Amino acid sequence: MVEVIFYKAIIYFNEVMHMNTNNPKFGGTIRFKEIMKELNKHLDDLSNLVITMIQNGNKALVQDDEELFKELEEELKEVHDHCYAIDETVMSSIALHQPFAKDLRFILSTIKVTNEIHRSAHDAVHIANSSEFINKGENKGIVKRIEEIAIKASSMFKDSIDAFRNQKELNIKKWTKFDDEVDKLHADIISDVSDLIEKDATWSRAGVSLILTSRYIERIADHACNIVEESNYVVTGKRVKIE
Amino acid sequence: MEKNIEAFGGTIRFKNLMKQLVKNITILTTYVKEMINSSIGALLEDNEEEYLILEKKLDDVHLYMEKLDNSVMNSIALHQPFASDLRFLISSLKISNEVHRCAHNAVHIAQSSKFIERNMKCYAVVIEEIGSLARKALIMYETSVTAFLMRKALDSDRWVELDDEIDSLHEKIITDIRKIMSDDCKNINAGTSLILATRYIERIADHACNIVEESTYVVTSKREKIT
Amino acid sequence: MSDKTRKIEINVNPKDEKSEEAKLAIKIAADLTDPPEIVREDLIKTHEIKMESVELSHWYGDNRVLSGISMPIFKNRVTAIIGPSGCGKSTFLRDLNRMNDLVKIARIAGEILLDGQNIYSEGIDVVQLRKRIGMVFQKPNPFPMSIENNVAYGPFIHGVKHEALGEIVEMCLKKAALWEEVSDRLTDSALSLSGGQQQRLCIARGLSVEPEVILMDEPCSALDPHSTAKIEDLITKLKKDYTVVIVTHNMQQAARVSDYTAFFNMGELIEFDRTKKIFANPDRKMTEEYISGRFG
Repeated sequence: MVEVIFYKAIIYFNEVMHMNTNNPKFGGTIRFKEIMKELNKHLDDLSNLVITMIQNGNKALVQDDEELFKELEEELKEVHDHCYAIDETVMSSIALHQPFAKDLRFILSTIKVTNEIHRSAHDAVHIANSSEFINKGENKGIVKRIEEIAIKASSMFKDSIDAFRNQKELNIKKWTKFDDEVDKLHADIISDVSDLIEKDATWSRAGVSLILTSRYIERIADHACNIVEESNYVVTGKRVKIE
Repeated sequence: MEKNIEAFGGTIRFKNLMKQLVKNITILTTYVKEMINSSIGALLEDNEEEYLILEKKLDDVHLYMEKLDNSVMNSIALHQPFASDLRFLISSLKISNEVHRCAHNAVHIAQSSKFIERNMKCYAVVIEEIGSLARKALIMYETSVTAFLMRKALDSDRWVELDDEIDSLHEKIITDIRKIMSDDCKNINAGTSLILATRYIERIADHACNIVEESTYVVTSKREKIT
Repeated sequence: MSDKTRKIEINVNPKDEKSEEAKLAIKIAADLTDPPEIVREDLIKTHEIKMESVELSHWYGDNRVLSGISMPIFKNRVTAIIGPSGCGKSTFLRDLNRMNDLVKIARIAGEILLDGQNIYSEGIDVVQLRKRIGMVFQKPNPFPMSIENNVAYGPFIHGVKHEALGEIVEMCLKKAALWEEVSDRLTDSALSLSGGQQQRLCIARGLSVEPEVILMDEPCSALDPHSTAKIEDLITKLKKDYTVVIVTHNMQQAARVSDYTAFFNMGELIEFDRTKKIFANPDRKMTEEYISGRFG
């Protein structure tokens, strides 16, 4: 319970942080700075949209709401539009401005990070879809545990994007720990649900859905780790993996 | 295949860099193709150890990806290419992502074989169907990668059809498995694993479609959505 | 260990037409063809046109160097002209303010419109024309006078009173991003300035007669990268008040600095479009080949 409050506090804190983040300053010509501003804006729009989608996906864990599905479908379409806009801006910024070093690393990494965010959007939709069959009424205990993973994963996701956009280096050891924690919680869910299914075959539909839901949430945490790796690469020029 | 590849333009040094890049992409994609092939074999032939072998191979995949990334970075930084050359370079990064995900999917597929035993008669038919789905997906992967390396645009309409075929086949298999799980077979873990394996195979086909979209973009600079 | 597992065979060049592989065999999408118009209708309508070339052809004696060039030059935008050596881009630029009048064997056909009026009509005052359309050359060529006199000269001979000159000098040097470097030594010789500074002085000189259009013929090719960057930023700022046309053999510069790009080859206009399009995904094969270094 305390953990939940703690992680909810982190989300609130991050939201405030998000509002106050400054765009990183780019050097170069006026036009280059303008296009980088444009790129950052697209990235901002995309990531805010997907953060909302993840929140909606997490809501679907606890409530049966038709509207949520419709909203997520619409939001997914918007995500594709944003991704194309980012593609175009990346192409223009390289073709028209021939950036080097850190600027080039940032632009090329934006391709990867956009991909990670895009996949996270799909995961959010999957979370909502598989939540439909988890028998929320009967499985309150397990659903609550999945909710905890969801909160951790969402906060990791926000922090990772924040770091990337502001070209901040994050501590790999700390993030390896976060990743391990999420992995362990997820593995525990799989193991407990598998036991339940073995004892009672009627559990299988809900059980598989619970496992899938937990897996999609764990994937969001994975995407966050990948984004952190990219962020560190942009800043330091070196690749260090979070395993 | 050498003769069919569109030539690169530019200086000698740029052409050499691009040749090297094509080589790096070929190595990565072939390696992952072998991984996928092994994982499907592991699933169909019930080979548990393959999962561990494939998991180790992920490290190699990451190394190849890093090499590819550096290749792309150097080509862009040192030669400031434009138009289709630049599109090819940027798309290479995306292909690298797609192929990376395929590698992970392969590991997951092999992992699924842990719970499946050859003597499970109830799942025998479904396993054959999964084999057929897997073959289709692998062909799609191979073709999409070849087209990208040759810088040829593929017939998008045909690929939309293919994607739909794979989707319906995958849905059918999952429905069949669920039925078997609730009627005949007491082994729930096996059924669950087969469902997951089917999903991962379908995912590989999706990645192949994404690669085809990138090929089309490199050649025509237009994006034609397939999935 | 892997021998135990069943492998799937794939034949990417299948002979059996009914096989899965055959159905997927690399079926190439229809070849891209060049679009019929060189300058698209929808593009022309995007913005106000300041100058326009209408079927412009140019001969030096019997040698035809430009063939039927028709393209717009948009107001308050930077238009770059690129192309291989000898493609006619500098000739075209000089036609825009009738500099080629000074070449005896030069002959043109077609029209160049400035605000809708043909600059080659009978009775056009060429001196006034060159006041409205200024030129900056490749090699900085300041007058052998003081810095301030370089800028004051133009307005002075056009009749501006002495008292007003100081203000004009300051304003133009500020616009050319040179004021801060020279404000304390305006009476020094212009020739004591560095290459980049001299070029900016030439730009200031051009601005002093209040032109509407500024033509630049490879303005940075004699300069170091730092000065080049400064001048590129200057060009970006200038377009707020002026229309700029720049000829450059440096494609990266054209990509960095311009809004629209025209690609010339062998005296013909091959493609004209937004710079973003030309360098990211041009319509014509020849443009693609040139900018990716397959010829030229």
